[in-house]
Amino acid sequence: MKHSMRILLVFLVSSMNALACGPWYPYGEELRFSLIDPTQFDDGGMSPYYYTSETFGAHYQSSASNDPNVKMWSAYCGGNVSEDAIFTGLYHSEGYEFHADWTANAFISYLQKMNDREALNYLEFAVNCSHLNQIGSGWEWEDEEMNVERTRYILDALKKSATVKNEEIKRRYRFLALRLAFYKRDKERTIAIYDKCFSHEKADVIDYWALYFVSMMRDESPQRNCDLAQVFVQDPGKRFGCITAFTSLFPIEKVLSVAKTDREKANVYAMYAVRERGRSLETVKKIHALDANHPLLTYLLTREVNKLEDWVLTPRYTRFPPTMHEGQSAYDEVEKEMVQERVKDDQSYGKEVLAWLGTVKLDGNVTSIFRAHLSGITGTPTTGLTILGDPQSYSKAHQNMANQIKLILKVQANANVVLTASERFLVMNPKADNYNQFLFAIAREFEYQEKHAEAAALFSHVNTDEEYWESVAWKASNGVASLESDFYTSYFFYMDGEYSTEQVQQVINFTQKNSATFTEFDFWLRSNLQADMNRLYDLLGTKYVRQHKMDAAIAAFKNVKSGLWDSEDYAYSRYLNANPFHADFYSAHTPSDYDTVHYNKLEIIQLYQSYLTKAENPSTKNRSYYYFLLANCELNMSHYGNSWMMRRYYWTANLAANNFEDDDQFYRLKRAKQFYLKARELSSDPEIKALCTRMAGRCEGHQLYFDTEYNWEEDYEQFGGFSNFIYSKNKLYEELRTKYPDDAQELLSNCYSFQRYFAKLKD
Amino acid sequence: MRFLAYFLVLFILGACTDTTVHVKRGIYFWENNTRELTAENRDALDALEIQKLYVKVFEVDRVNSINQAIAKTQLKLDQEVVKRVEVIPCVYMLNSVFIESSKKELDELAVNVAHLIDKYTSEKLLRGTKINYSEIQIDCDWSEKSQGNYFYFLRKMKTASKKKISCTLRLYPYKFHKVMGVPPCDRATLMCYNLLNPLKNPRKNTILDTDEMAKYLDTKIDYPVALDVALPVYSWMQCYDGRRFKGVVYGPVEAFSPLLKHDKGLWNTMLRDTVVSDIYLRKGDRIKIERVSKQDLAKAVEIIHSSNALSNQSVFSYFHLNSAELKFYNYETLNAHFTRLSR
Repeated sequence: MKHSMRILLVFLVSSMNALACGPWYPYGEELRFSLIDPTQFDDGGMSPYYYTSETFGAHYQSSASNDPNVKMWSAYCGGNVSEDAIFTGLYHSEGYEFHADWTANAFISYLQKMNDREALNYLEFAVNCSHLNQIGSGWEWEDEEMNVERTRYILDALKKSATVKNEEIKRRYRFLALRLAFYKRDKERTIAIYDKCFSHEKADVIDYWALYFVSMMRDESPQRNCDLAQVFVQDPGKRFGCITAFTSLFPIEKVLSVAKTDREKANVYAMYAVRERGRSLETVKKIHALDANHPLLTYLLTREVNKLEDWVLTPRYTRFPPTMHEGQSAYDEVEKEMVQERVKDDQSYGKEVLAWLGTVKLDGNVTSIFRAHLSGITGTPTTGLTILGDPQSYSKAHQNMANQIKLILKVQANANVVLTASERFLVMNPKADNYNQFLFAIAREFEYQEKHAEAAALFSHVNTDEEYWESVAWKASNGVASLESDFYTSYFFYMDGEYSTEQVQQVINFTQKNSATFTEFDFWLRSNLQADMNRLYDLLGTKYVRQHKMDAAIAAFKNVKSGLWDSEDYAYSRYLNANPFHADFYSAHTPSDYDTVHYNKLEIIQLYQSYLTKAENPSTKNRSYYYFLLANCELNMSHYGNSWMMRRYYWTANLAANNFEDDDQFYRLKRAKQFYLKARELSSDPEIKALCTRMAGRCEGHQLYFDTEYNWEEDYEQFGGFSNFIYSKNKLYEELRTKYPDDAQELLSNCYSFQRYFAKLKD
Repeated sequence: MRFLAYFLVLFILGACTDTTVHVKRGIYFWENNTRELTAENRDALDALEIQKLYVKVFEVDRVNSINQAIAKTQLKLDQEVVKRVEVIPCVYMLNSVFIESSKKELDELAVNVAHLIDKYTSEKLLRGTKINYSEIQIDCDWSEKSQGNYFYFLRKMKTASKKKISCTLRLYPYKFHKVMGVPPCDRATLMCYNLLNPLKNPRKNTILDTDEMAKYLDTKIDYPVALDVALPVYSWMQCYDGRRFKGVVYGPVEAFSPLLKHDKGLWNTMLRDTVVSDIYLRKGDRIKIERVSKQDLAKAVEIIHSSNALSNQSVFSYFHLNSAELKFYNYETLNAHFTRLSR
């Protein structure tokens, strides 16, 4: 071996990308499974409060479509100006532009055309004092100069409000005065303006802005909480401030008791539900009962469906637990059972949501999409298909989502289904939103119905175009993991962990199948597998080696064409270049004088088989020698030897079981030990017997080390440390000392003695 | 000769006086959103005869490459409390502030921090009335990387505020002060808790592990700065979904016992789904309850007593003021610990 692998070796195969930024472990949003995109059911105003495993969702971005101020001005202009023009005019204009001779902005131009001096003067005034609407970086230095300016503008705004004729403009001036008083931190004046000008019934968003700023000045109370809830629902721009100022000091009953109308009560309930991480159906029902047209109903139901996706589909498809947590998980047996138990419980809850959704009417396609998807989540895909109907009848924005849900439901209901042309296009279209997750879900549904070849073919198209942080990551259902990590992002290593030898053979057969009736889709489906055919045979042969079916392994390896093992990219050119039939007391991954021959995987197994034939043939001379060579090979094809890549695709210095079917050989060296003992049995020379016992003892030592869990309560110092404790448990070393006392000292303490003893065996 | 005799008597008396330790009584108040002390918390101040009340007034974080004051206290004290106890404004500062700030920014930061403390003590902590304070405490888990800037800031704070500056001190920099350096302060408060990483010590009580604490206080250290000491009197639940950490729920933990089934040691299992402190706890979640036991608190007091960390007029404090937690230990016991540390 030319390369030492003392610390950690990650065996990178050509198709794997090395991660420049160190180990990556998927968590949170990277794992959360979701097909229902909340942005398709909301104007963006609730984006920070979409269901997410992070503290907040996306930042709220004020836009022409979700800004209530734009809507008010649009109404003011009688719908004659576009919302985009109003948005630009309001937020991207300088004060002078409102009275400029020429303007490119349709909103300003309209007001000029209408000769609306009051509106234009107001807008100029608002822009000119907008720099005073700031609190600073929190150090609370008194800025006298700004406060003097604020006072001047407050008085001016109040004066103008008294003179203008238009009621709306009047109220806007008053609001500016109130807001400037707030930024001046003038509590008395803020409250006074509010009480005088805004304490009436709320008419529009201006009243809610005023309510927001006065609430921020007031002490915490149930009334303040109730007021903040009203503002929260009415104005997206103030939502973050409301939720931050909203206090949990008061029980909901106290806050509800000060709400005057059903709508106000519904808003209070909504405020408690937007950040609720548990089940909220009961709260949503109350909101609906109080106000069937509540503006946040659709949002709240989307959130509920997103929760159910996370609780049921994230574990169903990725095998990771739901993501509403921080940190990572080993996903052990206990946790797996716990998650499965909860999934059942959550599916029952999903049925409740589904049933209730059937009783209410929401805008557009919302209920149909949600109910269809929930049908799949709760295990009744056929019902879901009926509910969903034809996705083409849905609004354009919802069509991709509906199509994806429909296809998942269809495959979930029956994996033998024939896909229509449009469905095949959907599967082949990597540009579709949420493509990786969608494709992965379809693959999983095939897999759950024993269609492993089709599933593998789809898996091979997952994560092909995306950066690793946008990819799907998943675990195997059987707890098996490659040594590189306990999750997968590549179909190949997933097959290595999860698929049986027969299933890999099925995948190969499927890939090689050809037919005159094949469509573009059939070719596309197999394309990535075909490109990987050499690797698939390599995997098949490796799996047979794990099962000790060497003839089958040889047959599989014979199908590996040149271009794989001898490739510059393939790591075998660096690692599988040692003599696997030589081992001594301490040999491992470091180069030795015996590395004069190099074999590929096929050659090793062919030689292994020929030695085995000789060893098992009673007429062979020196059978003991051949068993010894076979034992060496078994040792080298293990975690501890120079040809570990005969059984694994990764190697790590950590003695971590990966639960492959040959862990007994890879870690416990059972067959290696058996062969050394067979070599001992067949030899009559006491020195050779002693050598074989020594080597079998080495195997036993590795097994003991692997199987003995370090017990932190145990005092290993009395044995001279943990290694010595293991050494003391080795029965074969004990046997060596008692049966071959003349050789024991030499074989156990003099590493150079190996050559002399081995030379005798060779003779 | 007569002069020499007088000198000798004075020297002996002086030596005797030096061995007397009268410990002042302190307590920390660290909550952000509380508007006023409850009647029970005010009673606790009386019952424990607290002399120094350490109040966190705000925190400093580095946000978008700017040092900002965040998490400002909402607390309004009343005249009666302020008459009876000395208020020491505290500022918690994130280590990143010192890792990322330039010297110029630290100059500005010291002026800002001193200003904001002054503003809170003048206008906010005691409605319209000024609180006289002579000491400011800076709390920061500084590291070797931030040490230079942190010490620079402490010196600048002294200049900017013209007050005594104290700082919190973890046990590691206390014991290994030759490596970690000594903060340039008037006093330092040894915080004898949270010595272990909660996520890496599943079997141990990570709030207070007296064996761990004793390792740092086993040798008598001649620390160059006068010391005060603080011990924890609180509890929390660390919540895990399987092995994944979900968050912390602060105590008193006894209130949650109907929701839990005890498994082994510090570990419990949730019996039903519920939301606590914005964390969705689910049936089957594993909950590690950590509470400083009365026995461990007493043991910690003994460790401090034998360490000689406290000198005359040192402050011994409890962290933190929450009458429900304090009652778990009862006031008599907590008073007895104050008395035990005076000698």
